[in-house]
Amino acid sequence: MIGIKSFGVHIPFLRLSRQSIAQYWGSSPTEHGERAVANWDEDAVTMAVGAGINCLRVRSYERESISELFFASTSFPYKEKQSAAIVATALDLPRHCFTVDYGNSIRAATIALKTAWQSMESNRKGDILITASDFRLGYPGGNLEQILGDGAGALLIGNKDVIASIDGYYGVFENFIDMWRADRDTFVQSWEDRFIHSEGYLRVMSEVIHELLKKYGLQPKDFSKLIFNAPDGRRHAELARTIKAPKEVVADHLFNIVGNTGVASILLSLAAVLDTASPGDKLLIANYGDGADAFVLTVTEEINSFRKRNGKMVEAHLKHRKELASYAKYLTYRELIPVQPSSRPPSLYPTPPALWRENKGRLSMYGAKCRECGTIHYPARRVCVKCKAKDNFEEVNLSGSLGKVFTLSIDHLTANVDRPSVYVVIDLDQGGRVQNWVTDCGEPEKVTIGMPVEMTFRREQFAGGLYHYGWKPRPIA
Amino acid sequence: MGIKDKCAIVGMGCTKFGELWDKSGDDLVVEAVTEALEDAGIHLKEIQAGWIGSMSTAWSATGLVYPLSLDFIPATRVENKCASGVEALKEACFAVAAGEYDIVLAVGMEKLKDSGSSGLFPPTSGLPSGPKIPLNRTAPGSYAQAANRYFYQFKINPEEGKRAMARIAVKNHYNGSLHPKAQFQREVTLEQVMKAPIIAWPLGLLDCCGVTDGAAAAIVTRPDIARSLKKDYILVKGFGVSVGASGAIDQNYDFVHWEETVKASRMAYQEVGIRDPAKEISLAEVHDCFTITELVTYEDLGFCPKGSAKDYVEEGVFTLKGNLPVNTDGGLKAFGHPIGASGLRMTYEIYNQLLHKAGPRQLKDPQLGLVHCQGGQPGEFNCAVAIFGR
Repeated sequence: MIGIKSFGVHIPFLRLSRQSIAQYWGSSPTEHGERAVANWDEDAVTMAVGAGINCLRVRSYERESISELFFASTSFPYKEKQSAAIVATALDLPRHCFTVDYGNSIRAATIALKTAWQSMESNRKGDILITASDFRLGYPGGNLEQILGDGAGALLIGNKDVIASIDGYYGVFENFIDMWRADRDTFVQSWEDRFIHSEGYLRVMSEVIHELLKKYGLQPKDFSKLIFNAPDGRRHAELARTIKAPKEVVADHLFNIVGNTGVASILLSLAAVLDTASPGDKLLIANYGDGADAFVLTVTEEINSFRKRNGKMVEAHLKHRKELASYAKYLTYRELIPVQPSSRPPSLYPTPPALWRENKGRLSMYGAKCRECGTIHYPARRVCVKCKAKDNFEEVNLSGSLGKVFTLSIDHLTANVDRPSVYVVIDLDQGGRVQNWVTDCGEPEKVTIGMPVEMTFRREQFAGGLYHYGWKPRPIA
Repeated sequence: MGIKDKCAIVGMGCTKFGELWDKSGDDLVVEAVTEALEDAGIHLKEIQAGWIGSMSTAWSATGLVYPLSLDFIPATRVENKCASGVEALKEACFAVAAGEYDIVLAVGMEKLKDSGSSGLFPPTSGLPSGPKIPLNRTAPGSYAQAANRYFYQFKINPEEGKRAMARIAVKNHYNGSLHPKAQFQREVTLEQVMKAPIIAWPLGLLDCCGVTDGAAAAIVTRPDIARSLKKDYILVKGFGVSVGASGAIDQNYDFVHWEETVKASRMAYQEVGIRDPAKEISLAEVHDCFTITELVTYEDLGFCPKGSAKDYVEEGVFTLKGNLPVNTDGGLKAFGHPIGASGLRMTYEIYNQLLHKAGPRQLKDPQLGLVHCQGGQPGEFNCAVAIFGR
């Protein structure tokens, strides 16, 4: 049986209410609620890593079993240079792992899912991890700025211990220009509303759902939940009416608490459904973008023990949140307004050879454990700090380590985007000490000596034309 | 063996420290060396070799040879972060003690104000490799980590701890007000220090030293040559240098003491034969880049027991009138901190005190003076200690 073995999400810590965006522009909000906003040190890659960790950690899963990593997004940090390779390195996936970027369409996550399903059917050797993440920008002052949200989802696809089986697929492509970004665009472009929704979204989605039901001899009433993406809440409701779906079976799109997360949207909605699904539930997934994909899934008995072990994934993420101080902060984080440069000296940055040497240290967060005295070093050293043994270390991955704040300072002088920033010394519970900036900490004053933290993968800077990534501590939610 | 009494400083010079917009780094070298030569009563041509301590201004010994047109002498640039000035002096002394040269020059110089920055430019153009020091780290941020841990470990109420630190700033600015070459020559009140804008709690603006231009120089020779040149000179009694690099990754480091200072000072004490530094040292010039630095340094130099510095500060032990005056010229707080220059600027004050030329700051009959420089951040210091006497 091929299906979903695990799922994970990453919903950024920061939220911006639509009211506060509208207020800035002297208008009223286009939809209710708030949107998730990636922190200044997050992007599509870091959120994909977050969702991937969430997906793999829940089952204390052996990463060696992953044979393919798919990364779906329309907001890769690089046009040329694979992002899946960064995600796979951060997740410390095995070297033989087949890495693919799926891009350019909001449907990329389900395109990846379809490919994974097919790949599992022909090659049953390993599991496939799908990460989907988006980080799209609407024009300041425009509707999309309020509607869009940042976030990521992940699915682990395999043929054993599945919590939901994949039972059917139907899909079409259609070259249709509704929303797009040309290679020179920063912001999402959109054609006139009435045309793109009636001739695009509603027509193509209705067709695909109808054909899927016909193909498998099913009715809307056979499903416990219908999960579909939509450009906004209104179109979502309109599609439900068009296909005559009873209100209670239409899954939440999370637009009012997270926003339209683009490629990630369908996986976030699916995650929220799996959080409460029961064995035997039939689920329909329909996803739109340059055509549409639709799947039939059936929830298995495994869901009960999975939930017992892991709790509710989406709910847990939504609890850890903080309202962004202002709309100006959002504009600053997304580099949409020029701000006073720091008076600090320019920072140095590692070049490609140094970055390559440090893949394991910086990106996978491997430290070195002395085989003679057990001392853990991060970064790794050639000679033990304690017993001076040379080149006698075992590599240890520290990215999953929890730790506690040993000491801290709240620094107003730093050139960090957020000032003041909390600079900490962390003692890891398993041994080892790291020194870095705390991220997602809310109020700096809340960080105290002894506070527990976990490590999270973040963008450190853009320098020398490159994105630099690394691991930072954040308070445990 | 050791360096004790094998070298003499026969002349010293020090520029005015401050925002010297109209002077280049080369000008500063010329001024400091000119004063030192005049003080020693010798001509530039008699200099046989030279060392310059500079972190980011002079990137090679050309920064010494060019301004003085000292072409073709053996010259070397040394760098050890904030300890670079003492390092230059130490190298000069070792060369003289080895018998290689008779009269040599040690200079420390830094021209920081041309950068327009609130912090230090990296010492070299070397590119970082590995996740060693986090991006955008600042010096006050690092020292504040030590201050917060210090308060936590010794159960000091943070406000009271901050007040003890503020007393150090008040003391040093008072001393600086008595020195015409200090960058800041105005006294500050306890309230001003306590209420200054916070940079990284508990460090406020007046707990931090300035970014400054300056240079200082010393002429080093053998004691027998010194005697033939003039009657007032001082003798080098001992050096200690210690560099640490593991505190940021070693869980055994407590962030409430400077191990490098403990090690460097004990090396120097042994060389001099000092058993009780609190009694035997007459005065000390210590690294007060931040007030917490000086507070912790008292303990690590053995001037008071661990965790007790606050009480000693409150008793006034380290003031001009106290039992062990520290930073009698105003320290980095009043002089500012041109990195490579500071170690020789401190030596300049010890020199003047030992030779009874310290004017209104003059102590009664000092015998041994200590210089302490420390670069880097808690857990990863480059520390140098030097002790001088008559």
